[in-house]
Amino acid sequence: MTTTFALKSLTYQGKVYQPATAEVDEQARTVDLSYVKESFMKKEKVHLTAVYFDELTKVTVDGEKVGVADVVMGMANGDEASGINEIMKAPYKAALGTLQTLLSGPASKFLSARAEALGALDGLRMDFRKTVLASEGSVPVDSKDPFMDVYTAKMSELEKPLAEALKAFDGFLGISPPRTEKPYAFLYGVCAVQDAKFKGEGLSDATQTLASLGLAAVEDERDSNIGDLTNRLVKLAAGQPQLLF
Amino acid sequence: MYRGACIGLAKVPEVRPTFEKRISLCIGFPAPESPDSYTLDVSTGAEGARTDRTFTPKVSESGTWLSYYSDYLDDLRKWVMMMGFSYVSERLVFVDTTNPLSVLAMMALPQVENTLVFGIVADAASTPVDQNTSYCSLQAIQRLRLPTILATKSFTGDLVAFFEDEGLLVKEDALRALCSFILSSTAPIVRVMNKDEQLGVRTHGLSATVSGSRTVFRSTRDAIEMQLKHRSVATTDNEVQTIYLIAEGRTDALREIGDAFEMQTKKFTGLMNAERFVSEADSKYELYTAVTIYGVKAEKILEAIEKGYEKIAGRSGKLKVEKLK
Repeated sequence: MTTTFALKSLTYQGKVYQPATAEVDEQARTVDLSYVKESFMKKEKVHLTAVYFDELTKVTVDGEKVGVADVVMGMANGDEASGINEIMKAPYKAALGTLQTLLSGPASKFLSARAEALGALDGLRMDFRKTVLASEGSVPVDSKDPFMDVYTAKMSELEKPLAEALKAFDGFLGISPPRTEKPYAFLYGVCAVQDAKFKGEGLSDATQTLASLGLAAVEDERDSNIGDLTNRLVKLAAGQPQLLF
Repeated sequence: MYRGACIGLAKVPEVRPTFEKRISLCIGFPAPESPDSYTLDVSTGAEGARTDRTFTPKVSESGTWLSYYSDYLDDLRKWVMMMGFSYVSERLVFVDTTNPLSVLAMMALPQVENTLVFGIVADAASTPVDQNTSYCSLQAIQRLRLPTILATKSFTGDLVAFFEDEGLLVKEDALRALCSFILSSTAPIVRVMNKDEQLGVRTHGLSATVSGSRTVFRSTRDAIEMQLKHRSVATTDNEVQTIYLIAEGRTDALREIGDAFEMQTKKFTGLMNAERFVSEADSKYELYTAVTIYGVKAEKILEAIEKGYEKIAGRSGKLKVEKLK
């Protein structure tokens, strides 16, 4: 679908053109910018440039002026400024929705499984015998090291959900390089907090990665268990996916 | 950077559990008390079960050691490991080798250092079935090359001991109290066992004067003399290879005990080593405890019950050492 906006002015590479038009193709994610060249004999529409917009495009709105890349469009009014802004931000909003789904889905599944595994390993540490009996299926008949048997089994249970979470992020963000490292940093940061909690260490060092993403509210949750802490961090991130994009 | 680091997130910190200083595994044996020891028990029940304290095979119809051995070896071997037997620094096994579960239990034990077996063994007065079971258990222990302290059924049946806090105890209660003393003296016992291991001596007997006093024995010398005669396994003086005294009491009593021990050990002509480990301990009744551990040849103990073993093995054709894999 193409929408045409009549612009009061168009500034491109510091030069002002007017009158001008912006034809926005939502499907192709392009804005074709033209101006009307008037000469003595005729008026001629001249194509000036095209702007591509995607999930990462930064759009600024200042009253009736809408800025994107090295172009500033002077819109007819504030409503039109909002309108074109909405269209160009749609891919970004869709990406946030997808990211939210990935955080609540595969990422949450992996992090919850990891929290559960740490809970089981905590049981192994606190009441080794009862926990090993409960995980007997992981211990072979000729076991030489039942602790390591259960520990290894718990880790191998995490490999599949981790692979699924990474695959989901890779598919969404692309690889080498991904569009952003932030969702991976989130996974890494939550695991660092889980590990610190498991080891009984203070959380201040472990929360640095999350803090750098703008997710820092874990200090007052020292008393919650690893599972509760993990759920809260996942909800916190899924509630503001823009922090991770 | 973070994408790469995420690959290792399936790995979680390895924090090892902490264990008690000591673990005791009891088979047909009264569990001795010890505050820093975790006690496991293997005994039969109407239904098979396993907990973090007990392994209970279902009572077998035939009731022979072979049926339990055949049915439960893998399960017990795994359970012993799952109870952290090999993770604890000191391991003690208290076993009545005439108990039909004993062969199973000894075959299920892992071969790990710092494991001491305290066993009750059949003697000439025991039934052939008991002798057969005991013989096979001892063979299983020998395969593991574990240090053992043995006491015959007759010795434990006649056991009488006075304990400062408990009074006069007999038979099973006296045995449990004696084993509690052994549990509290593991450091010198482990030293004794390590020394004897170097000399190729792994089988031991003991004799004990628990809570002795001048009112019971005329003199300390009499007490030690009597103690060295009343041994937990039958051996002649010449067959004793090593002898160690572990004693606790007041300083004056310990000096007398040491002198008496030195004098008495001169009678043992085949000795390779003799040592004493003494420690001071307060006693409101001026009591002392002296336990003597002496190294003997395992063959002598096996010889005493071989007849009964052969009798049963010959009749059944099944209850043989060769069945142990």
